[in-house]
Amino acid sequence: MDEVLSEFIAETNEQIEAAASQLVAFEREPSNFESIASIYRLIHTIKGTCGFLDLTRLAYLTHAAETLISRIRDEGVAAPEAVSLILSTVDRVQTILNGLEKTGAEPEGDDTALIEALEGQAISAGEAVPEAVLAPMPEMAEAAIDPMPLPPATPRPAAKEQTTKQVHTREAATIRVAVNTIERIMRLVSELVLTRNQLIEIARSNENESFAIPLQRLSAVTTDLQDGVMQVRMQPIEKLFTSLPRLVRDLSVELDKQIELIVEGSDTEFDRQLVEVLRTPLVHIVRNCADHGIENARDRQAAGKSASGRIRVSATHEASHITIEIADDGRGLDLERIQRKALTQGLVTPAELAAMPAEEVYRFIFAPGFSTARQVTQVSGRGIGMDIVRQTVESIGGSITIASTPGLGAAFKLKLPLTLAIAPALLVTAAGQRFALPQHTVIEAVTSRSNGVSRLRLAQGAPIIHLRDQVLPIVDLKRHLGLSEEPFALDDDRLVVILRTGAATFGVAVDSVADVQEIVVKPLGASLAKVPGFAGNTILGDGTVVLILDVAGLAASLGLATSSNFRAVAQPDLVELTKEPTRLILFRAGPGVQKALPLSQVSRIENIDTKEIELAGGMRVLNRGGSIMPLASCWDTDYASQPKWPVLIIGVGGEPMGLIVSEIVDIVDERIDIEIAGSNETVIGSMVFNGQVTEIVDLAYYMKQARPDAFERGHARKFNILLVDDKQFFRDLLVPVISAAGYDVTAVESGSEALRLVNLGVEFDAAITDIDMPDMNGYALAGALRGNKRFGARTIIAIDAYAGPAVIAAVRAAGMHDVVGKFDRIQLIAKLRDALEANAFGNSAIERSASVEKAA
Amino acid sequence: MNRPELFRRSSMHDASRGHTAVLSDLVFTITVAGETFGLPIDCVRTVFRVGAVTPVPRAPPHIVGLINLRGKAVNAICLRRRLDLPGSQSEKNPFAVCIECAGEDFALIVDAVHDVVQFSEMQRIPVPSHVSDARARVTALLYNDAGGIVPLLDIERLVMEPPVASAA
Repeated sequence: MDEVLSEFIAETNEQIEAAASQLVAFEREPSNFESIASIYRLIHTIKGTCGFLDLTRLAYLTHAAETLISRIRDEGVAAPEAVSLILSTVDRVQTILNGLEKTGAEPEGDDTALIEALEGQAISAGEAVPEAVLAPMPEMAEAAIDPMPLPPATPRPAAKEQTTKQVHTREAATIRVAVNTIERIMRLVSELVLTRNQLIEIARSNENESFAIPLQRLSAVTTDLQDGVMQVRMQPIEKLFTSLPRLVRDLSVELDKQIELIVEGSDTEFDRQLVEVLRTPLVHIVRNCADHGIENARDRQAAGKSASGRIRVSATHEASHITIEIADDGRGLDLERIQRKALTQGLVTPAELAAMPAEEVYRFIFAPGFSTARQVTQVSGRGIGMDIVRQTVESIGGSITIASTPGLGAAFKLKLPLTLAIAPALLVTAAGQRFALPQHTVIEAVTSRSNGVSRLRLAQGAPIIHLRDQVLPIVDLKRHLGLSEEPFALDDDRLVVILRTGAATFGVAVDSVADVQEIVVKPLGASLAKVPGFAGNTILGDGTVVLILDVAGLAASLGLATSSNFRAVAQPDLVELTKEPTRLILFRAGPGVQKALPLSQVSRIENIDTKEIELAGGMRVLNRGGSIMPLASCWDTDYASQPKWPVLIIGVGGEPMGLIVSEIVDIVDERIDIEIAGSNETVIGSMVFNGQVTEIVDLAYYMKQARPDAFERGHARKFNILLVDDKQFFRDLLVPVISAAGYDVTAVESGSEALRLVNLGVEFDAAITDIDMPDMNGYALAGALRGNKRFGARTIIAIDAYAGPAVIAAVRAAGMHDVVGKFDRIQLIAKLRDALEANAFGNSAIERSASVEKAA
Repeated sequence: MNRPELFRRSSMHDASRGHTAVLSDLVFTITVAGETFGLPIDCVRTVFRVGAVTPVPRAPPHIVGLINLRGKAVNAICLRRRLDLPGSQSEKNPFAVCIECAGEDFALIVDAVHDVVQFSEMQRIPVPSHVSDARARVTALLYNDAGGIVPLLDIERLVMEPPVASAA
């Protein structure tokens, strides 16, 4: 059977299954908006897909049903006859699907009676509604009768050829593996990783050399294996794009428009789960572009454009995410129309609208039930589509933005995570237990201040936070989870994590923020699915099971609907930034203007008790249970005047220090653009944020104060590491690893590029290079670097798929320090750290390796 | 190392089972609160000692929490609480039997694990009608053994259904 078809059947069956409970609820309570909306979505999605699969029975049936449900949705109540009609339609759809699954074709059958009944019901239900509903019916019928629509006039040979060629080559080189098998391997690998970590711990405590080498090898292979398995999950996005040519062809016939499709980057790889999730949203957007964006040939020519419109779908892989852009060269979004509609639907007040930039206005098309189509057509339906698109994209941690130029076209940009399997999460604690919050829902974490920008209040007994100019409801996590009965205390220094899901923004009060970790998300089993509040579980590196909080559920517990209560939210990346913004922490430290530090330099923020601050050797230290951490401060004051002080903990190569401040103001994403250079050694310079003069603190100054030893060793300056690998995949893999270890990384894709930078005078403290590269391999690059006066004898570490003894010998001979397996992050960082520290101590790594060779 | 792998003796018997005239049932026996229960051998995956448990807030009381069993989070159920048996778990690292039900693994926390016992079909007796509803609900059948009556637990009801007392 056609792959697309069998996927459609599987998908639709799943959706019907998922909607089953809603159907029952609907029968019991026909005025329940939630269930009506979800059934509408079900029918709409089936209609949307079968439209281009030439499933005429289904298309006709679902269109009739959709019209009726749409009426019911608008009126908010359904007659019992209408309910039973919809239920029998769903049954009929399932019957057709069953036949389709067996034979690959729609079974013979006559739906006329049912369709007539649906239509009759829609008319009687729709009498009170002015908008024309049935207008598209003749067009629909035409499309349904014609089993094989003619291809559009515009030929697209290029795209077609490309697709067939790729399919052929791929078929030869791949095998099908059951997803369960891969999941099982993944699980076993995670178990292996845990065991490996335990072994490493044991090895560390008893120094047995004979043990260390095989363990190192085991470690490397394990990391390798883990990454290999992760890659198995990756699929070319082509799988998602293959249905598009057909879709566009059919659309151009249906709409009588000439549309050309351009697909780019279909070899971009990402998680197979995402491929499935994105199918529906992508179809919706392309349909919208074809229907609303592209004009008909006459209008286009009148506007001086080519008769055939273009839809360009492209995928690109950036550092940690995938971007899919769907752009058309049509008329662009109709700003005025959207504004009018937003006003009539009461989504915005005239005053708010007047101040709203166009980009934000465009986002109203993602509101539920928002449609600007003058005429309801079979193609893009009634506006619920874009709502689903936004929800789906956000549900997987992505975001969607719109750009539009009147008369020139519109572009939808989907920014998506690379994988669903691993996601960064914020670990928070409540009543001594750790919980994970998906990072993509977290906006910021704030500490309450009764006199600052984050004030806690009770509004009719319910806790809220005044955050800058916003008032947000708060969930007390402890109470929410039943871990505490205590009433919510409006104390200072309470930690509130601000979350956003869909359109709801709210705070969760937690005891502390423990960590940010990449977690492997696992669903809760069926036996725990009924327990409210959790979206899944994960196993952390230390083997602890941690529950993942259900953010949408938290929002719902506050009575915040995540979709119907729509409010346009501006996304930070609407505007293309030429310079990456830096996440900065704004704080005050004594008198004077507000100060800022890049958040990346701060490992965590703690509120410490003043009694934990002690004086030792003329320096303030934090004495906590015997372990001592030096403290620096930006100003002099009597610290006993306040019971607690916020402290920024700064990790200096494993030797942390604290910087005492008086108040954490905010965390912002801003481009650092120093306007005035620092007038004294404590400040790098000043700039203006939101109209406030802000000093960027020079951390090096304080580090010298607090950790002079570490500073001397060169910790204070971030080491700059040159990473050379021809494969984007490995650069993306290693850059975060290296920067997480506290180094600056410059990643380049070739040896020649690396040499160019070195010759330009860029200072690198060490180089990490792949061995197997086209043009100039790692050995040649090492030779060239050694010959370079600037780089000289600095550390070069090779990375290779297999770091066996032969490779080690070759690497040493080429003047490199060492070689590490490509996936062995732990080893890589350890070697890098050893080498850099040795360098900083004056014992050059090259000398050491030379002496090793001499001894050998 | 402290998780002894249970040898699936059933597989060795499976082959012969079809040919013998008298069908026999292989049952993994455990005790909780002094009572012996049987678990269908096909459900039993492994036996291990419970280490760290992550409690699940707002879960029913018999759900102890989640356990990391070889890189997989499994739901741990206290059989004592589930069956509303007297006493409490005294041991810090009690025994748990990992059972599989409907594609999901569970850890059933018990007092002690025993042998795999072979019962003949002749030993099966239905659950007497005067057994309390809560207990009858999770009992598939009873075996009449020389040493006493061994109830065979209905795993699916045991792990998937809420206890009768709280559901009513």
